[in-house]
Amino acid sequence: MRATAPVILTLLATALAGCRKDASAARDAANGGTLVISSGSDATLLFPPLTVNVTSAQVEAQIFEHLAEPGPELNMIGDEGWEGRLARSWSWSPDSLSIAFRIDSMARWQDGPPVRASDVAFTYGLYTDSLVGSTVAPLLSEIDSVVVRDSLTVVFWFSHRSPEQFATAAMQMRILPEHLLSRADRKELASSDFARNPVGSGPFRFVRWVPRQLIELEANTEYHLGRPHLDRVIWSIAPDYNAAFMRLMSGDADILEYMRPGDFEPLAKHPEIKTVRYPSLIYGFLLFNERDPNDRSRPHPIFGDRTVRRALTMAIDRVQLVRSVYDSLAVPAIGPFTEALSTYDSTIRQIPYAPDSAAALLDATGWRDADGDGWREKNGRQLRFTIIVPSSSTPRMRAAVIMQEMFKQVGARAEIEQMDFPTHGSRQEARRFDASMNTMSSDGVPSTIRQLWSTAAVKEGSNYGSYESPRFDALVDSAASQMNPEKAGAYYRQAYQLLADDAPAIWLFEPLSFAAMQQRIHPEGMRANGWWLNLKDWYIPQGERIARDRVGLSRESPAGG
Amino acid sequence: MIALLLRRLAQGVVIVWLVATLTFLLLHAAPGDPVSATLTDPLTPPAVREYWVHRLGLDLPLHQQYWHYLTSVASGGFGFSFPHHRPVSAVLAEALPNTLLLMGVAIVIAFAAGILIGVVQARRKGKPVDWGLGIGSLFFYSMPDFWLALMMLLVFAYWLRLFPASGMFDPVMYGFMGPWARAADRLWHLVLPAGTLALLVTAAVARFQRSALLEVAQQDFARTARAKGLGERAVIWRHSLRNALLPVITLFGLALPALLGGSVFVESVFSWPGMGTLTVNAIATRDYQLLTAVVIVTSALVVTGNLVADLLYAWADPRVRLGE
Repeated sequence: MRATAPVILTLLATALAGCRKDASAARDAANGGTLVISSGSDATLLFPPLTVNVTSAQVEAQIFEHLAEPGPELNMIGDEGWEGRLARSWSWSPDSLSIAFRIDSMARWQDGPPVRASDVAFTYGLYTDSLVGSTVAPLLSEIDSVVVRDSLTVVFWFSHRSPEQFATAAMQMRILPEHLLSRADRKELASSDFARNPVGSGPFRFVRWVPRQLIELEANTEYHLGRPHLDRVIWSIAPDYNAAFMRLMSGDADILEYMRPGDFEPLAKHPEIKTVRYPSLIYGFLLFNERDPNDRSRPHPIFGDRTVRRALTMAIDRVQLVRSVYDSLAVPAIGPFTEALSTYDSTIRQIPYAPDSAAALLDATGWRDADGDGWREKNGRQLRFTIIVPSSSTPRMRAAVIMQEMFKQVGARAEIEQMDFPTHGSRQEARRFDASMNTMSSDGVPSTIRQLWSTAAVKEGSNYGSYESPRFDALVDSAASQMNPEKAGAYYRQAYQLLADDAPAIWLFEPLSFAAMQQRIHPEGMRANGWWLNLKDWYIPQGERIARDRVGLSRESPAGG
Repeated sequence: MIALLLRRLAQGVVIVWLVATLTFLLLHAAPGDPVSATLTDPLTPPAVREYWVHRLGLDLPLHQQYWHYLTSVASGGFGFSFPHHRPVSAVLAEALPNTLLLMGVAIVIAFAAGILIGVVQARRKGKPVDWGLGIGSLFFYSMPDFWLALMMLLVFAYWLRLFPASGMFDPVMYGFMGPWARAADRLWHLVLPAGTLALLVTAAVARFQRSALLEVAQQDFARTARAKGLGERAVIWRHSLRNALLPVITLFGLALPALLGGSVFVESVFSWPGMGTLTVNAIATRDYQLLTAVVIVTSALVVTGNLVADLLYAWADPRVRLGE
C-alpha cells in the first residue's frame, strides 16, 4: 500500500487540476456525445415516491425535477443559495407559514402538455397517500397542505415554521405529471407501466430500459432551462466490480463512479482515463450498543458506561487506522457528518489517541487485568465484546481487524463476527450486537441527525446504539427550530461536541470519493448530494468525440444529429 | 414409454416441491426479510417498513405465508418481488431465456468439443497429442470457475481486446444495427461467457470420453471389427463411439446442475443478465418469492435434464429397457 502513495498523490493533483474549469474546452462544448456510465446495480423502478435504489435515483434525477435545488454549499436552512428548477421564483408569506412557488411557464412534460401548479399539488397528494407507501411521506409531515393559487402558482402551507421548510417543499418531491397518473391505481403504481416507462419534465427523456443490462436516456431538446449538452446517457449495468472496472479500462464505458484504493495504480498506466474527486457525505464509525442486547432494560455491561466508551476511543489511533485502510484516500472523521455538510465544524474537540490514558481510565472504572492474562476483567466478566461487520465491505473489515489489535493493547478483547449485509442490517435493527462497523451517507439535511441519535429514535427510529441524552435532544431541537443559520449552526456545534464527548461511537473515516472517467468527458458540478445531479451540464468537446458520440439523437436516423 | 415419462414426471414434481419447501423454510429462518434488505437506508421511517411488511404479508404466520406461496405457484405467478417491484413471473421471463441461451450454447460447444477431444486422445493414446490434450483438460478441469472467468475477461477483453468485457450487446450501437449486424453483435458478446462455461465442462467430457473409448476399444466387438479388416477410424466412429457414449450421457445429466452453478459466477463476471445474477441479487435482498421461484425453475431444469439423459441412454444402448 505504501508504494502506491506517490501514484495516488500524482492522481490527486491531476484530479484537482481537472476540477478547474478549462475555458477553452468550455468553448468547445457544443451539443452532442454519449456518456456510458458503468453502474453496479440496475434500477428497481423509475418512480420517485418509491425509490430506494441509487441507480433509480440517478436516472430519475434526469427525467423528473424538483421545484428548486440547493447550491453547492448544500445550505438547508432557509433558501439562500437555492436555484430554481421547475419553479422560476418563490415568495414567503410574512409569517413564514407559507411559500408560493411560481412554475416556469416554459416547462413542458416530455409528452407535450405544460407543467402546471396542479401537477405539484397532485404530486404532494400522491407522495402522502398511504396507499402509495412512499418512504418520503413522513419527511413531508410539516407541510399542512398544498394549494393551487393559479395555473402557475402553487402555495405550500406549513403547520409550523422551521428552518428546513423550504428544503422540504422544494427538494423532497420530484414533480409528477397529473395527466398521466391521475387515473392510476395508487396501490399498484410501483408495478405500473409509468414506473418503467416514465415521462417527466427534466433535461433528459426516457428511451428504453433493458432490465439488468442498460437504461438509456436522450437529451430533451425542449427542456425549459436549455438543452443538455450530451445527446445520450446510458447506464450500463455491471454488478461485478471487476467487470465494471474492466469496462472502463477497455473503453466500453466512460465513467465509474466509485474506485477502490487498489485501482489507482493500474489506472496510472492509462493516460486516457482520469480521476476526478467529488465531495461526499459518507462517513464510517464503530457504533457502541449502550443497552444490553440480551436484556434491553439494562445498560450494556461495557458500553453502558460513558467513561469506558471514552477510554476505548482513546485506544484507537484513527490517523494510523485511516492510513492503513485507505492510504491517503480518506481522512479521519470527527463526527456524524462530513466536510460537505453545511453545518460541518472542524473545531469539534476530539478524544485524543492516548493508550496510556485509556488504560488508566479503564483501571479507574474497575476493569483491571487481575490475573495477568493480558485481558481486563471486572466482577468476573472479561472486557470482551463482539464487533459485527458486513463481509461485503473490505474497508470496514480491515478497520475492524486493526481496531481489534489496538483494543488488545489496552486489554480489551474484541472479536469480529462477519455476516452478509442484510443480516448485519437486521442485527442492528433488532439491537442484537455489542459494537457494529458502520458507514452512513447523510442526506445533506443537518436535522437528520435526530433520526439517528435522539432519544425518540431509540424505539421508533434508527438510533441502533440507544444513545440517550436529553441535552443532545434539546440542542438539536433548538437548532432545528432556529431560522437564523448562524444561530442554528451554533446549536448544531454544541450537539456535535456533546456527541464527540459522550462517545456513542468512534468516528473513524471520511472516504474521499473519486470517479474514474475517460479524458474526453468533462464533468461539471459534481455534488456531495449526488455527483449525477448536473449531468445536463457535462460535455464532450467536438474534437475529442469517438464513434458512439456521433450517433445523434434519433434511433431511427443514426446519421442524424 | 409414456408410463415411464409420467412416473418420472410425478417424481420430478415431488422433488421440485420438496426443494422449494426446503428453500422456503431455510430462507425464512435466515435473518432479515425483503423489506429490511431493500429499505436499507436507516432514515427510512419504521411506519413505511411496517406498511410494506404488512402489504406483502410478511407479518403473517409462516404456515399462512407458505400456503399463499403454494397457491401463487400453482397459479403460475410465483408471487410478487418487492425488490424488483414486479411479479416474479415477469422477472423470471426476462432472465430465464438469457441463461438458457448461455447454457445451451455452452453445452453444445462443451459436448461437441469434449467428445472430439476424447476421441482424438483415445486414437493417439500415449502420443504427444494425447499427453498435451490430457494436461490441457486437467488444467481446465481443476480450475475454479470464477477464476477462469476473471482470467478470460482479463486476457481476451482487456489485454487482447478481442471480445467485449460484458453484457449481451453493445449498449450504444446495437439500436442502430441491421438484423445481421445485431445477430453478429449478440454472438460476439456470447463468446467469452459461453466459452468460459464450455471450457469448464469440455475438460470433464474429454476425460470421460477418452477413458470410455479406450475401455470399449478392448472389447470383443471392437476386436472383431478390426479382424474384419475395418480401419481404426471406422472402428471408433461406427462401432465404439456409440457404446462409449454412456458415461458421457451420465455426465450430461450431471452437467446441468454444474452449469447452473457455474453460471452464477460466469454471469456475474460477464454481467450476463440471467438466472445466476438474479439468484445472487435475490439472496442479497432476501427476495423470498423470487429465490424460491428460481430454485423451482432450476430444479425443474435439472430433473428434465436427467430425464433427457435417461432417454439418451436408451437410444445409445439398446440393452437399456425404459421402464425397467
